[in-house]
Amino acid sequence: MINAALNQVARLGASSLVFVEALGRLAVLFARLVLRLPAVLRRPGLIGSQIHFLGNHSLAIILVSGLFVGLVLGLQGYYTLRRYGSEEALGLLVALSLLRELGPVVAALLFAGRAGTSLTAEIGLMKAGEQLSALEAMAVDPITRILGPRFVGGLAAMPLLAALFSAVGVMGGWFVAVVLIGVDAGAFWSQMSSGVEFWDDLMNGVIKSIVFGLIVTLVALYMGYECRPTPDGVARATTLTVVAGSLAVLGFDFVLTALMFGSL
Amino acid sequence: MQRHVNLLVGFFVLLGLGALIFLSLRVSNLTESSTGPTYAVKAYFDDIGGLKPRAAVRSAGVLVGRVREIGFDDQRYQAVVTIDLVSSVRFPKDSSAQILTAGLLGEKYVGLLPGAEADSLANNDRISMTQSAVVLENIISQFLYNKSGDAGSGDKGLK
Amino acid sequence: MESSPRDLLVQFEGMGFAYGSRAIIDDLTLEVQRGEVLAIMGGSGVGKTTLLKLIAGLIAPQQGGVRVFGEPLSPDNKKELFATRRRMGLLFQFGALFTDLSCFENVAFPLREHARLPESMLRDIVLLKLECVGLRGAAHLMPSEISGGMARRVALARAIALDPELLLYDEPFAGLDPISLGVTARLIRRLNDSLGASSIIVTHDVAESFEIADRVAVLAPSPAGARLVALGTPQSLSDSQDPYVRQFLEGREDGPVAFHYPASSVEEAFA
Repeated sequence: MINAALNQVARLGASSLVFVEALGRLAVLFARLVLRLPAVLRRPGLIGSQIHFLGNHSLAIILVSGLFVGLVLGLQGYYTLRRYGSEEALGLLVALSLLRELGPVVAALLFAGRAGTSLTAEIGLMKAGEQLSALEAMAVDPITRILGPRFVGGLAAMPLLAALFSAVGVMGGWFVAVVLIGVDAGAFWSQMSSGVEFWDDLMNGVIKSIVFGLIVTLVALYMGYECRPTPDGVARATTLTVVAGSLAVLGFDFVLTALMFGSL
Repeated sequence: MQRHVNLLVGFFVLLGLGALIFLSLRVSNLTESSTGPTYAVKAYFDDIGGLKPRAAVRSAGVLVGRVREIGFDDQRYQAVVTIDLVSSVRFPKDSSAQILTAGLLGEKYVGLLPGAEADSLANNDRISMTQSAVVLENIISQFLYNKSGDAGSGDKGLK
Repeated sequence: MESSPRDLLVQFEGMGFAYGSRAIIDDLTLEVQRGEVLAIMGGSGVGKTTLLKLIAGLIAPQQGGVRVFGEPLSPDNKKELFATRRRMGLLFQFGALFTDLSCFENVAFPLREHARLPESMLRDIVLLKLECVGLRGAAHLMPSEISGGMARRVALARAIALDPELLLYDEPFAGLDPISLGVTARLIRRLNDSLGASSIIVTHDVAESFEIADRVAVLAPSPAGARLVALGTPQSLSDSQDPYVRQFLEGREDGPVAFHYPASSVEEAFA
């Protein structure tokens, strides 16, 4: 019985080591991507294709989700604020919730699910089909040619998607508050615009979305690049992209929020 | 085909930047806080309540400046609030400053009441007349004190 | 026959390779001369693909060395390695075409990456290469729209895009119908001669490779890693008396590679 318990502990230790090793490989991949950045930036056509693949193709889900989140925020916010007679602060509530938290975080989670999994599957299948080895054999560095443009594309697309999410969300909140419920439009917008700080709220949200974009794209590329080149290897990798990417986003959200908003 | 892609990407980037601009101008207070040259004025308060740096300074309800910093004067044991006022606005030397609350549960801001003197406040001047923030606990204890006074002196109907 | 170092495109010198604790190749010494087609044969999993990867510098040997174009490979010096690889063409087992690019773009890929050519010149070169393999008409198709044999021919066109001096083929005949087999074999020989290059074919297809190869090498499995048991012209191999070569060439079911997987004796199992 002691043996069984010890075995469990040993297994826990072993999997922790595996996790730490994976973290290390992730960091190495990040370093390699950063080092090759100048070479990647010399191929704007490739980056543009990736922004199209990751950004344009995510527009539908981001816009629709943003709208629904804004609608719900308007509704829920109204019910809560009405208790304190502060319905006029609804605009402020919706805007702050979106700009500070929901915009960057939810957009990042959706991005991980939609664009992240596409990235992982694409790279994993390229690995399985020996396309990455073919590139190396042709004296082309896969990091510069394949992973780099995708990294930059994801990094560029993510803040734009988060901004769109927040903007559409605010419109959704406006629709529920002013059009449906009848909150005063003037109060809605003026309370919002006087209460939302450009640097502290909006820009902090933008910084968050850039960080999240980096994390999700990096995780997606890593999972695809390191997966086992078999069909079930690719499947596992795409699942891990969503799980690990989402958890990392939420974890970093806590850290960033504490750093940014803790002192206010 | 490549041109088609470039167009779509450009459209996407424009859309995203447009959203950012919309958020900056319509949603945040960027336009409100873009002021020009300012001059600094100090005011001492017994209690600033929840006044924070970057809080608004209003006169007749209009934004005329921002609170730059809040410090503690350990000679007078009072809070010293440094205010940046917009250069285009002048206040008489005997103007008074109050700490008010926006709405019932809103943030604290500084209200300026103009005085009657001919001379105006200049850079690094001091506002001499100030009224501290209204602290909720003081009001409640005052109310309870008054109520218990009433109950003691007259009306015995209060249960 | 004395050959000057410049004519030896590939040299293995006492090369040994292991994957972790598993020995794959043991003490291999082999030279490939300019202009020749060399077929490397042996049972599945003996390590033939590993040899190609060693030549391409994708992996490094544990013992001995590999010389390509007269210079030892330096996997750490990326620039030199890439310069060497540009003089080679590598054809992977199933083509490894880039699935998001058309056949034309696939063949154009090495040209775009390594040479700055005006678009019209690039177009001419790509179409010429495709013409060599008989697929100029399929230039606009995507890899998903062509058969496996055609995909491999497009990959061949891509491998010769930069007019390499050394061509490496990983199982080029695997899974092909008789017509495609003949086409591919003759293409390999014809391209080798017209380019003045050397070709190394890793395969276990005896008939086709004996048709086109100048020399054949046979690798036999052993516990310490695969060993070179025969090297010579197809004729000399057909005459060889080495038991593994005989079993391999004739397809005998039993010989140095045993039919029965190691197991207990029949008496014990069915007692």
